[in-house]
Amino acid sequence: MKRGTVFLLILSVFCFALTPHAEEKIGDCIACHQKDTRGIFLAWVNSKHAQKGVDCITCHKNHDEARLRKSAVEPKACGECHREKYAQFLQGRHSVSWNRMKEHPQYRAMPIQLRKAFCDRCHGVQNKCNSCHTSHAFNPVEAREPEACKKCHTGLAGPHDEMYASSLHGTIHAAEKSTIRAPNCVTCHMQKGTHNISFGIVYDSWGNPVDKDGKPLSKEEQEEIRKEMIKGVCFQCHIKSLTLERYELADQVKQRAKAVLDEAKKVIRELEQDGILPKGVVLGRDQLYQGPSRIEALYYRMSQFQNVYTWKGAYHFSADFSHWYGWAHLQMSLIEIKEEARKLRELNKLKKQ
Amino acid sequence: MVRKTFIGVLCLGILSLSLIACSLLRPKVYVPDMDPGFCMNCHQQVTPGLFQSWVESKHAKNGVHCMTCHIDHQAASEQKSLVFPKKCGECHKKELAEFRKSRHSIGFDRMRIQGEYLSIPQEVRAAFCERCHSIEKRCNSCHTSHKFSLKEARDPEACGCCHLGPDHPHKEMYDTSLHGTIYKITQNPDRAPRCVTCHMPNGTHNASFGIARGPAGTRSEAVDLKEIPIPKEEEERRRREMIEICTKCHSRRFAKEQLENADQVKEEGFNLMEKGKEPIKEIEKEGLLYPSVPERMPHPTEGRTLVLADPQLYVGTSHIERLFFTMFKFHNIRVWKSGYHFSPAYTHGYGWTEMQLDLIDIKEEAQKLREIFKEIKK
Repeated sequence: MKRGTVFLLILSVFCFALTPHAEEKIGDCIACHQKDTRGIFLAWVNSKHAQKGVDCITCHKNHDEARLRKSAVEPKACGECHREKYAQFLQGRHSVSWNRMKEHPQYRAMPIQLRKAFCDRCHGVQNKCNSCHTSHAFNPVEAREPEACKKCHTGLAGPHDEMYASSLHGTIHAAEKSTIRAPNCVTCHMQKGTHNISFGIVYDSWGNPVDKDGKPLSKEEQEEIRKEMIKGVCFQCHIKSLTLERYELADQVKQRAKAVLDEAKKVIRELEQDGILPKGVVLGRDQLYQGPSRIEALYYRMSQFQNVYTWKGAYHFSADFSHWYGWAHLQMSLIEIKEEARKLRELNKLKKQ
Repeated sequence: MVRKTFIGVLCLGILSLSLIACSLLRPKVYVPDMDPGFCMNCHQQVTPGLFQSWVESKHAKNGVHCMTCHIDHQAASEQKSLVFPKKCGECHKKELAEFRKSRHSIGFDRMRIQGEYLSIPQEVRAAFCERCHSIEKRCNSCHTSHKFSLKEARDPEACGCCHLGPDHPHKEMYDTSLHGTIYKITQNPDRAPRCVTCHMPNGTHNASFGIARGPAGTRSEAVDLKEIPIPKEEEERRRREMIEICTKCHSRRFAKEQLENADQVKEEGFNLMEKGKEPIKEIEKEGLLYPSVPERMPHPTEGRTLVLADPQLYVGTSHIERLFFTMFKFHNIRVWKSGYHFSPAYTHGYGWTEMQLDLIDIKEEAQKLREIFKEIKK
């Protein structure tokens, strides 16, 4: 009897030792995910990751870990293998987009559910490498097409895609998909595959010459950055005189557009001073699009959209976009603001009578 | 012996004559001392994209190289590397002659006398109007340097670079028509026409082919390149030319009906536009325009007068005029031109509907101006 007990004890210990550990095995993932999320599985199987032995566990670790992050994989994790690209990424504005968003009054003024559907979707690029080369194929060919950038860089707030599509660069590229003939987004903005997408860019979204952390750039620094773009990219196809001329032209357009914007601002500030608008009107960068008066809404369109279209359209060399969607509308908004100011003054006088 | 000599001399004579004829008939191409390899030594490294494009071009295969068009660095830098159509025409005679019949060949000159152009600060004109209107001076607007690819030029994208935007959304109209959508899906010009099918049939460079009812721009009169009204017979002849193109796919009756319907749509659009002018003219008479015409900068070409519709400016006018600007410049154009490009979205939603809404705004604005400011004027 005693020998039997000892034998059973040894057997159980032995069996226990043979039990699989808590550590996952790839086969375990695939067993379910090949059926349950077939699309994901197929995308991964055809990817370079799969060929090189990078699998579910490499990035997601295990279900518990993955659930904590809702399956998101942070750039830091990608950076463990893709060191160079990660370091470059950290130099560019994509790596601060989420932080910037969270500071912005418009974001804070929005209901949380809407934030997720609206702002988070694009500004999340700070926390996701799969914004451009998407999961689970992570295909660089996909990422190099203008469509990859278009997902975010389109529409009212930043119609870069529309500007590009209506420029010679964009139209030639659409007719003949060869970057020898015409550049696409990555040709200029990710030269030689750098993940520092702020390469060669002097201004922030507001047109201020600052770096990604908001620190002002000196004149020399600005020139250095511009030279990087011109020498590294433009000179591949264009001669020096044309390139420099076009950039100077774009600079002129930017200055002129700002002057129109400033004229409109002056009209509103004068209304404020004369007590016709309440004090503390927020204009420009931190302005919200809800609640304010019509004249402020007109200015919002000018500063957020029309001015941006004018100067960014100029740097993307789309005459149509820069002029008709930008400059012409800027001028027309100015007419409207002046008229609105006049009406407000007259109504104010009538009220006082 | 004499006979042999005679034949010899005859052959020699014929040979010499042919050589002389060849050299006389060849285009006058400057043959410099340098050879093209000299250019390429630098440009292959310094501007590799440019060089590669040229290498892939038909020009390269046919011995047309840097110097053929650019001559040398000095000549080139005088023109900022531009090559004028006249130069291209030395070889491409037919295309140049056709081009000169079209409105493309007067695009720059027309622009320079336009009030809008003149009201834009000089430094930025090059970034705006000139980029497209410079087609008068550049053959590389459509088949671009240095590949000069026909495939590229025939693609709607090539025209779409200039012929788009709020003031003349031809590309957008085409894209939202059946012609455009079918072409996009099939990429087959036998299934659906692209721009060049109708506007440059058989590769004619007279892009004004078949346009009967009015020129480009915002005026409705049919005029020729010298602004002289086209006689009715000429209008009908052009219309028949265009219908010939339509009949490649459609019945003659269908084509004629569609185009005549478009004529009617155009007329309706212009009539509606006229309605928008009336309230503004009345307001001006009542002295309620702000800034008033005498108070503002005179119009660059029309002087101190109220300008409604072409060549109205979008700068420095009153609000009620600016409402009309959108009506005439953006919305009426859509009604008019998308009728002929068969885009219901643009004819109705983006065009006619918007015009009607503009009319409401204009009438409302006139009423407000009267109520608020007439009292003070009394």
